[in-house]
Amino acid sequence: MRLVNKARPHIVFSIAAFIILSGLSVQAQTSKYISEVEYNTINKGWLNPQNIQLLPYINVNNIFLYNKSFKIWKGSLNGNLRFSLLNQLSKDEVNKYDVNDYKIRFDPNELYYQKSFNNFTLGIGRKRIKWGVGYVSSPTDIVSNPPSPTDPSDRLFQIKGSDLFQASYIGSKSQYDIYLMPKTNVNDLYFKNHSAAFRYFTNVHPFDISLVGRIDLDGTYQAGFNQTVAIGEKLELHSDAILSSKSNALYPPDFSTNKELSYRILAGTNWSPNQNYNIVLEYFHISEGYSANHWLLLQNTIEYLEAMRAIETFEPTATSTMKKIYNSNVFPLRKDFIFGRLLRNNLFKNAELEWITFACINDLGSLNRLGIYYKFQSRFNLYFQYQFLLNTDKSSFNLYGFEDTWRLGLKISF
Amino acid sequence: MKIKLQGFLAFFALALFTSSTMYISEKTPEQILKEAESKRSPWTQMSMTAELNTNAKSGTTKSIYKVYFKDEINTLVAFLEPQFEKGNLLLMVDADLWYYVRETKKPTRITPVQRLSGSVSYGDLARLGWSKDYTIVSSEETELKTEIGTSETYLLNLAAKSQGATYQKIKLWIDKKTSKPLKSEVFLLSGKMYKTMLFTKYEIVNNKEVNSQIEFTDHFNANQKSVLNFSKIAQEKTIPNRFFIKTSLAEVSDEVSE
Repeated sequence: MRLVNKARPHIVFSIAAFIILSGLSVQAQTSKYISEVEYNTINKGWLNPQNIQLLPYINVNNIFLYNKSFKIWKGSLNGNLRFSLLNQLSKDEVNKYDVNDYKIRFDPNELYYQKSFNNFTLGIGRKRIKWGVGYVSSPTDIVSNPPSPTDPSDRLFQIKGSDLFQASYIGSKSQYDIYLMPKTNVNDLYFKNHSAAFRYFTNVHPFDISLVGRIDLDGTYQAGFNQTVAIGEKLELHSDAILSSKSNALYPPDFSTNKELSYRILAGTNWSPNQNYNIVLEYFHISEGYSANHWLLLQNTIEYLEAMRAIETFEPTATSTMKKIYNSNVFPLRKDFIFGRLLRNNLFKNAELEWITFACINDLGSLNRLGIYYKFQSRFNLYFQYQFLLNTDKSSFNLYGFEDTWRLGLKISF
Repeated sequence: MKIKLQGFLAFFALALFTSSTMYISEKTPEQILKEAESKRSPWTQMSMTAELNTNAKSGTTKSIYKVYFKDEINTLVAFLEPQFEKGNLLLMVDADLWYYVRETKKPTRITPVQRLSGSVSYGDLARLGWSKDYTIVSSEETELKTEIGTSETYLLNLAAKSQGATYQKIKLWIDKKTSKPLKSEVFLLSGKMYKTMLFTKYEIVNNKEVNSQIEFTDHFNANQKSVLNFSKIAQEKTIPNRFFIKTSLAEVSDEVSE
């Protein structure tokens, strides 16, 4: 085993040493340890031939999230440091992964300093910014990535913050935020250039409204808004929309980008009929999603490349092109989706049941997940999840590497 | 002369009694409620530390919160203990209540009656007064017998102005002499009695008498007992606006969870 990225721990340890030496007071502390095992039934459908995405059969994930805040210079230094050992135990039914490949990864998901005075807050460092109001994939999350619909709770803490400078002013019913994001390795995941983003939030009773925007140094921009409104005590309606001057989606047959303006819209509701139930229902429209024609072209391309893979001389090129397609396309692929989540509290003592469905309206494929969560002795959470795909034959969900997944995990909070 | 003096004393005593009775009965129920509220939140901006202890079958649980109040309608509750809840927040603005989870950075709308811990609901911690959320349906003068003795009280029957209030009906006993809230019984929409609360301790802070302990009995949960103790009660000069804006909770979480 080895620790990936040695320079970063060095910085972190230096900061930790400094903090200890300075005798600073510790503030918030919600560190977590997660250990889970999952078994995947590999999708061997015609759109995912021979496990082209190399999804492991058996995975054992161990993650430690060190989360602490320290009071320093009348502000706070906040760390959200992720250590992970993702053991991919089995490549297929026969072959195991080489134990020498097991690596402890270190990811400083967040590490920032912030200071508030009067109605101002200033911050610097890596920070995850949540602007969107949707349960998953909010279009207005334009500074840091939102969670994926397939893992809305980001259970393995995979979302990283962005490297940024923050300046916020908070009035009695409104807030102004400006973020400057320089070009860094981490920011490259989100933006390809130096970037600046702003938000204006206000409450116009009963609506909470945010206007957001982002502009990159190369002139590409995004502009949008979100709102939430409560109707009575049980129902909340929300919407979230963004207009983008450039999309990163790649289109067949030549997998080039489309230079037209694109937009994403989300409209949803959060309903709690009583203390035991919570229901989230959201509709997404993604204008840059594949049309029926694009989807047909993609299927034909994959079919063609699969045929080429059977010919020895073309196999390496065809395989590499296919991998590129799978890796470059960001799911979901089509235009219209529905996300639904049902949470049943108090299923029995300290237990919750969760059902998630993420479905494509255009081709009726869906990903479904049943989860049961049992909390005991306050800090332990045992969970079981079973996820499976439905109606995938002609659906973009057929591009997922699995047919179903069984997962058992334990989460411990410190 | 003796008769005249006795007559004068009798008249004086009667006048004194009558004036005192008139003084009390001249208070409107609204005034009585306001005075009782001032025993829980004497200042428009204040903060306190709340320690909640609950006796359950599995043992006693302890939770600690830092609570900030501003202008009657704004409340921020910062979770300090247990450690794994540290950094979570509860924000109440008017009748709207959000629970912010530090891990997800997301405020989720909740209802005040939802259980915080033990026998205590979110609204029990986030609201110190009654007049914003309840109207007085009736009032009467009555004796209240508790473990510590018998008190002359006003009994106010309160009804929720909206279904969003923590409870739908409250019976509130207020001490006639001191205006201290002594006891309340709270009811759900179904009419069932949910909890009994006893306001058991008061202390002097900045020359004001302030409630510092409430005992809860949860009748829906085998009469489970919880005790909420308030300490470090302080009048605040200026609690910043950023504490009460939903979108700034991520920053506030880092700032207030000491």
